[in-house]
Amino acid sequence: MSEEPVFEYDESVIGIEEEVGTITVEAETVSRYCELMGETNPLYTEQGFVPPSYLQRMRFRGGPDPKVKFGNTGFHAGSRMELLKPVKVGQTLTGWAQAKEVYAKTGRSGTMVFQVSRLTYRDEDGEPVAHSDQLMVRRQIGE
Amino acid sequence: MKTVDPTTQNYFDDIDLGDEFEDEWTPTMDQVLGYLGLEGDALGEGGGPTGDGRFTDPEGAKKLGFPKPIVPGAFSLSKLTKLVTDWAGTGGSVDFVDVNFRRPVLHDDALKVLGLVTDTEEGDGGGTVKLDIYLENDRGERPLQGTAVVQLPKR
Repeated sequence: MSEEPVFEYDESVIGIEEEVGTITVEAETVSRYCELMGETNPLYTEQGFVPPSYLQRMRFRGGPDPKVKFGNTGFHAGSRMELLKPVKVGQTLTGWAQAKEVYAKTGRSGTMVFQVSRLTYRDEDGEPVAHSDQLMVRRQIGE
Repeated sequence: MKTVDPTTQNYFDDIDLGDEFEDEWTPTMDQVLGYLGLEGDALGEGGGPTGDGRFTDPEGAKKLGFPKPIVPGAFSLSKLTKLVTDWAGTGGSVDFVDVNFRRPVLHDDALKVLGLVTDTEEGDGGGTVKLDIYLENDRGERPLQGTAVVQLPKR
């Protein structure tokens, strides 16, 4: 019989959405970003739309932290971006963050604890324009 | 294998299962510094946002077991997302990009940024296309691998 993995986290923050800041998309910053990325799509270089990947680079405050206690190392294992509406330069977006879930899986290489966080980008009317889900993993390496 | 040009529109009518497209990317220290420095972020004493130099300091990276500094996952993801938006062109749009980080991307890795059409569904005025997307390095590894869903117009 296999043993249940032992890990701790703060369940009280799961599913609670918290505002984590407001950022206006500046033309100059988007322009520098497009140059760095080698962007040639006229939507982003000429027509004032914001490259979807730029949203991932916007720095909001950290959201609710379930303070997972497990293992001695962690890494970023996955990212899922859902794009609902195009974003244009000059728009002001508000970030809403939540810890969606924490769960463990045990396989041949041992137990890993997964933490899924969601950042929702809302426009000036409070309408969501994108969701960004991030998957972080914690595991034990060595003794 | 086609290269992608965002100024040449792909149309749903012309897409076939198995179509492949690609770009190339060799991430350099200057690019990583540029990415981390956007919005005026200071690198700080630790040589980057993680404080351990993994992205910018060869010695710090070695202490963590990496042969070279690694590329921030979000930067690699951005390059993969750019492949998708390039392929969608000005008349298409991207619904989802869903990627797993399987192993680190190192500075100066010669990378192919690749896409493969795996499913299509016709709709009114256009169609939905599902893609497999991945980065492949010159050691034959795929450090990032995932899927994307794109809307393309019809002719």
